[in-house]
Amino acid sequence: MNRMTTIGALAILGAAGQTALAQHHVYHARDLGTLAGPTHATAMNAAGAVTGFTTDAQAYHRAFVWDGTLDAFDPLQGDTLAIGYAIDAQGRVIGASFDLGETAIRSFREQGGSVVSLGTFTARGVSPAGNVVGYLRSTGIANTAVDHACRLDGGSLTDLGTLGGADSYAFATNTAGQIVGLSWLVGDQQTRATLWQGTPLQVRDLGTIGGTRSIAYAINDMNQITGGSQNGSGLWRAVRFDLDAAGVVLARVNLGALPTGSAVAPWSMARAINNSATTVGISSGKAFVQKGSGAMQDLATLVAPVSSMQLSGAWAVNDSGQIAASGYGPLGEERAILLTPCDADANRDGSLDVPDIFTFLSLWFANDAAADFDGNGTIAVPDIFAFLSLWFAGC
Amino acid sequence: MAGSDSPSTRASHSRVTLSRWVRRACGAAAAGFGALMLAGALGGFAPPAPNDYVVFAWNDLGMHCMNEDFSEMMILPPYNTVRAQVIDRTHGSPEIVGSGVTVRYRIPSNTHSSDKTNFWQHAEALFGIALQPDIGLAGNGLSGVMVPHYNPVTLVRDFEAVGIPITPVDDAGREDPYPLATITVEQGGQIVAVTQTVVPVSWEISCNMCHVTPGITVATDILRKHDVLHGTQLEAHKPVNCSSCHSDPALGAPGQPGVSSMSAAMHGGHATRMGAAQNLVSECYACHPGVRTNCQRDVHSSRGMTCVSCHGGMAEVGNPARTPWVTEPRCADCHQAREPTFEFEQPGVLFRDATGHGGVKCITCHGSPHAIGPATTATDNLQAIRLQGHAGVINTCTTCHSTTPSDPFPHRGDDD
Repeated sequence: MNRMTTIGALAILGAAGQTALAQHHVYHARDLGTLAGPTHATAMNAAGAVTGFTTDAQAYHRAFVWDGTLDAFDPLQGDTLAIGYAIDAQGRVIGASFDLGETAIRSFREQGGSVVSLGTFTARGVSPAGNVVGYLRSTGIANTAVDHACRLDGGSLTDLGTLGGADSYAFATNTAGQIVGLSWLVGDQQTRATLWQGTPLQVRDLGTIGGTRSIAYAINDMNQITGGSQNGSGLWRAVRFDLDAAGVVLARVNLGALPTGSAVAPWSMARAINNSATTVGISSGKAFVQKGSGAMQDLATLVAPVSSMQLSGAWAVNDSGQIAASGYGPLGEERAILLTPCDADANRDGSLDVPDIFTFLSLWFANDAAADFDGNGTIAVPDIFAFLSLWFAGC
Repeated sequence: MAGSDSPSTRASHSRVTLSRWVRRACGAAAAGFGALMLAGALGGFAPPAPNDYVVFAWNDLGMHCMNEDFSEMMILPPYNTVRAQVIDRTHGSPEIVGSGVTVRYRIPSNTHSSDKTNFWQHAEALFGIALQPDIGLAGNGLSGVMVPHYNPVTLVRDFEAVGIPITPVDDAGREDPYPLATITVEQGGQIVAVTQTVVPVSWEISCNMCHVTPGITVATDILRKHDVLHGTQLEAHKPVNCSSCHSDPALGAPGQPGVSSMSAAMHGGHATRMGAAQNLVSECYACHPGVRTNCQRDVHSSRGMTCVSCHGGMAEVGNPARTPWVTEPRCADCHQAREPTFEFEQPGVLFRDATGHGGVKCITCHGSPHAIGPATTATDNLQAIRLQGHAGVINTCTTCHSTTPSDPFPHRGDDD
């Protein structure tokens, strides 16, 4: 059966029941491979290039970039370790170069195998255009060593300050230059997810969902920030902070947590969000994905075919819906994994072909939630077209 | 440091210390009452002057190892202990503070753990208790209040936070086995002293250097070999808490009668099986952290000494007659000959608990074991540099004394 014949057959189908349902998602997993030891993903750009770090045969960390092939590169001269923390739209990796136990951490930008120092600070995030944020070691009260969120402006660092406490950390920035991270409050007993934005610079406390701690790990271009907050019981929950255009918090959305399967209370922490409000992170030891107003889902249950990799965390998501994750193989080896959405793989066999159409139709006629391809909570004809659109697009 | 050289014996020194504590407590109570009356009259508390107090903090071991993965077996959980001594400088001569202040700890760069390790998923199977995520086995979290601690053997007071469940990954995702904790001392709602110390933690335990068998995990290889060698059935009962059979004073685990201690089993059992580690700087780094972490980072290491220089080889450490975590190297073993008039650790007391100089702990001035100053790691030197302007042992008298005492510092336990 060719694809046009399939469309003709589907055109005669009528509307089905109107039941509130959850969406159907499938991801195809790709192990990004290894050089000499474990690989751990940290970030990904819009094109699906992934960075992170790998451990070499001598037990030292090397930053890596994967853009179809896996390449690692050395730290700056004089250092023994390097981690890739972020990657911009041009595929340039931003990261930290350091020795364990040292206070002077240097940052680098890598492109094409050439590594250039950006100065003595920890670069943690980069905008699509290449603007870098992170944190620098400074001096606080009584000459204590403190960390302050910072932004790299040209060749100089701008101290972004704190919410009144001693320390702050910037973890991410977006196209508009808004910056998010963590700051300690006055008295240094509470932390807050923090937004730095505007000129002159404003520092905003994003609040919590009831506890004394929150943290922001990512910001998209749609006034949404994600990270975590302790709830009133002191348990971490992945949270999405919805803002207005001025950066005022409109809502703190508790994204929930995956069950632990034991008496242990569940927990979660979000690490990334894309412009479609897809959030990824870690919950109760599992990688999760959460879309829009939908429920948090265990990413491992969405991977097709069922993988032998045990997903341990999801670290980045781009606007194509690709997710950079980490997992462990059957022998315990840690691997960076790229998850690519392929919802049209209805029979979850890892390939896209005609049997997927029949599987979809079976689901559709059965009024199964998995047939809700337009995500409106009902099973109807538009779902057929939504499915076919994906199927013809190749995933 | 300098101070008067009292002729009192160790026992009399202890009584002096204790009676002095009583006097101090009474004096403090009276002074506190007077202050309250004054505060009431004035409508508030007068904040203490800067430098009225000084606080020193340290980690008890200088490195705490933990497993990275707890799904199959556990040698050590996340469990780090920080202690501090607070010195009151307002009474002419420095006095150790045991109460009346609130001592807090926090680790600014590392505020959550439960998403960095699977310990909490398996804690119930390993220990029989369902811990709340981010709370450690002793009930402490990643920040909190250090509680007053009194050692009835040494009669010394300090403050402690036991079992902090920190991991070697900071909130930014960077491996950091040497995170800085900030310790603050508050009195009357005011911060009167602050310091910083390293809370060392590492999971660089490289079992995979040797325990590699195709088709099974490293942990399964270990458990299977144990089953073959000792007739156990560990592989069928994962996750396994090794200290449930092998006693481990580090965890307060009594073990099973007739079973060797964890230390004896690990060191003794592996002493003749270290071929894969022969090319390491120290073969100890095959299991203890490590090639990357380099946890032996103190002044001794910078002078060419290795783990073996103090601890002896694996067979010695694995001697079943040795009591792990108790039978440890003593400073006096080497330094007594060089400094015959000095006193070092009290009999039966380890460096980390030993005292001298009016109840000040040795570790307060010299730094944590394995990080005795000056250390090779910059973070471990920060406290000394901040307090006295240079790294190394705290030897600037005015760190605690208002003026430099005229009499020489004898480095004796009865020195006051």
